[in-house]
Amino acid sequence: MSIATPPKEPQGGGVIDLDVYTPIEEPRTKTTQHKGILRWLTTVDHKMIGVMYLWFAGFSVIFGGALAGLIRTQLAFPNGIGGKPLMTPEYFNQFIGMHATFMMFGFVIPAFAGFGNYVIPIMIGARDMAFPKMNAFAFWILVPSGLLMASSFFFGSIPGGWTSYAPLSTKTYAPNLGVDMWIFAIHLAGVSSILGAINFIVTMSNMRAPGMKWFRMPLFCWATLVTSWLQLIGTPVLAGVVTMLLTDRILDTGFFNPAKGGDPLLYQHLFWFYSHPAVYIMMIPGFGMVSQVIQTFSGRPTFGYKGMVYATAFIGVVGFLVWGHHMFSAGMEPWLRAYFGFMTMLVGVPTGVKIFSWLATLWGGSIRFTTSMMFALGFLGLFTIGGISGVFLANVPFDVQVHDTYFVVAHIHYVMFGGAVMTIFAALYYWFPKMSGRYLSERLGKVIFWLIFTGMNVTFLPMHWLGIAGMARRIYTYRPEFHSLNMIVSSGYLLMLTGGLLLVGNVFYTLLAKRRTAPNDAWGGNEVQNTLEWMTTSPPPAHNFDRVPKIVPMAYESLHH
Amino acid sequence: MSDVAITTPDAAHAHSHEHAEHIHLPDPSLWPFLVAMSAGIIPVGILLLIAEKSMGGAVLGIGIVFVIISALGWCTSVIREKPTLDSAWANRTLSMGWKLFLVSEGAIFGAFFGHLFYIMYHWHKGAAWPPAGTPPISLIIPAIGTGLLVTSSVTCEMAHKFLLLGRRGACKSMMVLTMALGLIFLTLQALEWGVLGGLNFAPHTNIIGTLFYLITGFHGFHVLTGMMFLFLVYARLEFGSFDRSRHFSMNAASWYWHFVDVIWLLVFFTLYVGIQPAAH
Ligand code: HEM
Ligand SMILES: [Cu+2]
Repeated sequence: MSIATPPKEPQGGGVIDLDVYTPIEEPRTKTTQHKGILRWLTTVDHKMIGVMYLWFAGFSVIFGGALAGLIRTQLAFPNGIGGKPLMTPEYFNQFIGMHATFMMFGFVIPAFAGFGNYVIPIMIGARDMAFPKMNAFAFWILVPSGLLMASSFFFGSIPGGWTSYAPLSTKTYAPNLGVDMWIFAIHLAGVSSILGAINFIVTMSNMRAPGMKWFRMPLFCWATLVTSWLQLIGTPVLAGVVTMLLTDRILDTGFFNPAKGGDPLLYQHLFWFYSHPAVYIMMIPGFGMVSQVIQTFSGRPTFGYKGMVYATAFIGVVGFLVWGHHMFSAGMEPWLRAYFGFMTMLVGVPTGVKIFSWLATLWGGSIRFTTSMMFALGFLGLFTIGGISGVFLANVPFDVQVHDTYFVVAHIHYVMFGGAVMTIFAALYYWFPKMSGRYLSERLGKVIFWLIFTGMNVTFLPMHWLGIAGMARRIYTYRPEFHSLNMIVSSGYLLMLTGGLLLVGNVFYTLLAKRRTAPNDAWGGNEVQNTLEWMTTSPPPAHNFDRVPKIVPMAYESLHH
Repeated sequence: MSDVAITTPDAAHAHSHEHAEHIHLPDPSLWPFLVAMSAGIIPVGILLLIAEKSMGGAVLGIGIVFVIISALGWCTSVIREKPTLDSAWANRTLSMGWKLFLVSEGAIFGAFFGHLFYIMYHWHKGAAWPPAGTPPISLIIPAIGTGLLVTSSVTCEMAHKFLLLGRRGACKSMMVLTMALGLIFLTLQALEWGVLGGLNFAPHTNIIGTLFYLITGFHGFHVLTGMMFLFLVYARLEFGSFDRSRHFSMNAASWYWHFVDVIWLLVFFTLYVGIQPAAH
């Protein structure tokens, strides 16, 4: 492997001049600090808020993972054990719906928000987010949301899957209170998303340190910026559509009721207008984090920085124009099908640009196989598979065959687990030393990676075949010939469970037992990407930097411009 | 790092309130936590009402009161700490945040208008429009309402101009006029609802009833919020806050008011005009 060569084009970060910076023992800031739990309840520090988001995500993923276990147990023994059924079909459907809701709204989005909160203000050289109190509020409002969501279990929660399509979710078919609870939980989570998004956009627009031009921002910042716009415009539409569902349920309005001139199909249109961009909300920050990880551990700046930025923005814009691909079999004009199919495939182009850009970054780099890097590489492979099955699904004739089968479930999990979740694990191993001053075990980390990576494939790869063979999703049972593949799928879950439990154990052990040893530049070699979070202590002081850093251009940057 | 351009770091170029010696970090605050938890009580109250439990109303009331109290606490704490911030920078930041918030508000209306357009576009050719059960909805009252709101946008802008000119008295009169116009608008809206309700036209009558009441109701709610906002600004004017350069909440209230006005124009030209029998 060759030694890193000087980059040919400007990279995020530029050169940061911090020679006056000295880590300080005692914060010079004069703010009243509370102690104990009150310190957390009153904090407006973006780093502490980021950490709380991550704890929230951690709880959610454990909860959602347990639900997945119940789902897989049922599907391993669809006829029960010893003739005794394990659960009612109704419970099975609730588990499916709640698993998805917790994983998306409780785990992936808060985890991205957590890393974003922690790292982005530091990356752009700011002391905090633009609206620190609103930042705290956006986090805290997630707590009642999560509680409502979890307690909806006692009231039948959502019987129709996470999409809660009308009329499955209208009063006629779902008279239980759980649906209303779910709606309010979505409202509160939506408030959190919108306020968080406003905060990120304003922070990145107005709080950048001197010299931190837009095109010097690290890619993770760009990713979060694009995501924030998606959240800002998309989330209110979701809030609107669930509000319509709510009034249909409690005021007997006619939004989705054909007898009154309404149209249930509109639920799907409005829902996916949000939820397709939402799948990018759940992926783009991961792209950004992986870019940071790959730069660090291949010792080369990202290939084609600007191309990456434009590709991300393009995905964001086109993301709003493709929602119909979830509705090919629900009925729409043929020309619309063609349009949505075409636009969906178009998204594959910038996605491909990003993948090739990561590959080109790796090419000729001196790669360090840390756990974080392994997760990032795992992401590359798995996400590519998910992207390819996505392009399959964008073909209307194919999609009509496999819609609502396990093929779609396989696609979802290759992009969301193989994609988003792998990036979150990569980021956890990457920034853990920065956030806590302690390294997670690298040796155990590799074991965890292989368990999760293998388990993930054992679980989700066979689902492609199951789907093409016709196994329907959201059904508690299946035809007997699918049994052996389903046993394999469920055994994959056990591998992932082992990996997950080890990871939880590792995190607690590290936090409780290890001493703080991480230097500023915890992974070394930050001169390649030059991001600011590695230029302050691990963990950083409350005010991040003693002096506001000033970013000056690299010599070649001025040569080439 | 041979190809590094070194310049002397110069913290003075940073936001002017930040210096190495004196770092201003916001104080910790319990208010965000309290507002969030109180906001969590509100859905519980509504859910209890839906489940027809008697304490629902009380819980809802408690939630609302708690939210108002803690939100006021939050506001006062913000107003008190504001002078420490660099005002030009703070103004820019706050304006941007507020405008983004209005974008998201617009997107909520977007969902409802999207629904309306879809229904209008997909209506069966030949089927009665508007559907049976819809009484004739006159354009006269909403047209008057349009006039009122547009005028109030103008008076609101004038209030701002007067403040910039330092004429606080004129500014206050214009604020009062704006709020009065808003109040007349809401009264007309209530009258219209009353008349239509008397004709047995309700949200559950048909899709037009649903869209009509939900959209005008949601808009009316925004008019009400806008008026309360204007009133708070007016109260602060009375107490002598704001000067030529520092009056962000006045700007914010007036943008909000213009936003509500623009939404109304959409309501008038799509909803009211669209559900006229001749229009289809
Ligand atoms: C090249 C990129 C992609 C393409 C072309 C694509 C295409 C599609 C299509 C056509 C469907 C509809 C399948 C059906 O229900 O019949 C679908 C479903 C889905 N996709 Fe993708 N996708 C892509 C990337 C992603 C990404 C990045 C994510 C999230 C991280 C994602 C998450 C989902 C989810 C959650 C569903 C299923 C929703 C549900 O019905 O529950 N996709 N995708
Ligand atoms: Cu989609």
